[in-house]
Amino acid sequence: MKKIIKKIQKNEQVSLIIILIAIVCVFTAIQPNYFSVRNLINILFSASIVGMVAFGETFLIIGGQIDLSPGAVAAFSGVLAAILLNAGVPMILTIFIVIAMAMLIGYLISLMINFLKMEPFIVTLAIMSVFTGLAFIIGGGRSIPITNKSFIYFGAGDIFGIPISIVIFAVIFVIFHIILTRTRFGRTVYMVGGNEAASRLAGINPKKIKTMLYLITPVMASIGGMILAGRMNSGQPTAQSHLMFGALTAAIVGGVRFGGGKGTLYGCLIGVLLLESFKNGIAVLNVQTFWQNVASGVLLIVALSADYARTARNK
Amino acid sequence: MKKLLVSITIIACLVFLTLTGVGCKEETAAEEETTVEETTEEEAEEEEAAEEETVVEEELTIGLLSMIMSIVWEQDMEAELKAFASESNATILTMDANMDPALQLQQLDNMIGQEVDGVVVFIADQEMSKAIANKCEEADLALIAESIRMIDENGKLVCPNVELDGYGMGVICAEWIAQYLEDNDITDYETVGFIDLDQADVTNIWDRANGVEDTFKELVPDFPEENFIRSPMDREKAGALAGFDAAMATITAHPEIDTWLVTGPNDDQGGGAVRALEQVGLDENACVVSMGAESARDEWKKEEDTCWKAASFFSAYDCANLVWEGMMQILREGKDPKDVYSEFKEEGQDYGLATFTGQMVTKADFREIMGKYAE
Repeated sequence: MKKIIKKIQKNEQVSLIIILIAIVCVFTAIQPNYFSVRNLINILFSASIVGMVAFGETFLIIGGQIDLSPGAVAAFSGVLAAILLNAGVPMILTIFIVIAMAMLIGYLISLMINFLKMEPFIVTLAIMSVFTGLAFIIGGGRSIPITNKSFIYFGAGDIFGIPISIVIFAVIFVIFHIILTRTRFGRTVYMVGGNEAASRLAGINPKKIKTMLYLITPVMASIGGMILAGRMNSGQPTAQSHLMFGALTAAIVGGVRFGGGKGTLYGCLIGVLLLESFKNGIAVLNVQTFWQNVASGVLLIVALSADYARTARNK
Repeated sequence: MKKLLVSITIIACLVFLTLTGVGCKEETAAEEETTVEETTEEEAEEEEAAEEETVVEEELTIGLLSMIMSIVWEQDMEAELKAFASESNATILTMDANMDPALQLQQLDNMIGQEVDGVVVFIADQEMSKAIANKCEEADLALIAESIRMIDENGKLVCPNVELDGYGMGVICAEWIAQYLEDNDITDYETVGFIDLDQADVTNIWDRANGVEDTFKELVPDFPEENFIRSPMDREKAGALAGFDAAMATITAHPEIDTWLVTGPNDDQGGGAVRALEQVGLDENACVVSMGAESARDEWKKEEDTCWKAASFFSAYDCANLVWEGMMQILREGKDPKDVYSEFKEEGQDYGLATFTGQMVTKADFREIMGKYAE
């Protein structure tokens, strides 16, 4: 028994899976409909948008960086997509333009961090503020209705009963997991995040890595924003204010070390599922949402404490 | 000879007609000249009067302390107030507290520093009503509260207030749904559920949800208690997503229900519930009613049928009109704030609370009722 406990303690992901199973069991015991196909799809559906951004944040945090702007970028992307579609721009071109715009934002952030030596926290906070405002400005402060059926299908449709956003989420997970674990780029991300000076001496160009990292999160946020806009049939400027907090919490809960250099996409995935299962459970039980906020905050503190304890133990 | 006489007669007639015509023209011209002269004189008098008035009516600056400018209602309020201001030699200075009460107090200090004549406040936190009223009194500022009433710890109004009757809005929505049940002959309530979306931390939304619950239960007493569900929304998510998630969670918890009746305290949140119902394929039998109509109107412009059946519409014009009237009474007519909205004053209150409600609109009549707000 002791051996098993020790193994569980050593393997963070196993302990997270146990917590996830415990959450599912508790909520199912209280409300049997919690463990229904429909609700599991609901959980995955919510997890897909937060998860996409959390994957981007995972790359960034492992690389020793942070981005606070994905919520604002997602809202801006949804509104921009709605405006372009209403102007008669074809769906594929709209998606392309919005993603290109997101890449531009990421590139802008990386320029400020790499060349103006600005703090990532401050830069991305400023970008968050700018794009929160811009989402309201370009949409006239209102939600913009979307009538393009293909785009609505992109957000709310399904393939063999599985929502498209879940399919996209799964594909992105597989691709990103391979990139992080099986490619040279993935290994350099860990090196830059673990020790930037050492990685420079090893011949890696940290600026180049950071630039690439800062392209990922806004692109993920823009895809999430467009999926949500399709799902709601409207681009909503207020839509994603919760996204950044959810994504960061999920990544940290999933064992990604806040200081950089350590973490897995697999852990992040479990973190996202854990968080969304918990939030969904509280909602299904009809508990006042204040408790959801309290629980999310407590969960983040617990995860950060565990991260601190792990780091201290390793030292 | 005969020909000559006829020719002379014709020429005489023509000359007479020509002369008469010229005379008439001259008379008309003269009359026109007189009219123009009179009009010019009248215009000059009016201009003089207007100039005199302008001399009397000095330019006013009115501050609008908004709780949050990202909501459509506040944007419409600002636009309507600006329209009234432009007609009354006044300007509107807007500041957005973005739901932050401390920031709103600071903004009031800024407005006092900028020597505004009066402030219209959409308060970010009802608890600081007294603090704002005291500051305005010290600075000798006219104060009118809009959208959320400003009260002290004993529930007494601290200034003239204009408020949307949230409870009344809930009442008319519930009445509409009760009528919908009757019109559609829905009498077996075993598989009918009611989702009353609410948000406990926003007073007006809480009032709306209460209005829905009290009225529906009164009008449909046979409706099973367990099928009436108050669904709390997450304030962090805001807008449609909050309504979507709350409705989806409730629908998931009650698979036995096949007909859902939903009320959304805001339009976006009602829209979120519509999307949730569509996603689970329960929209065909469902009936969603929201409050605001600013998003429902876009839904109704689509050709497809929707379960978004109705919305209660309230116009920012009505609210702004009441606010501006009160403000002008204080600033231009020198009326005591305690006498403003006196027709709405309740016993035991020092100030009046003017309220306005909405009216129900549907896909069939929203253009007619909403007018410019339909576009």
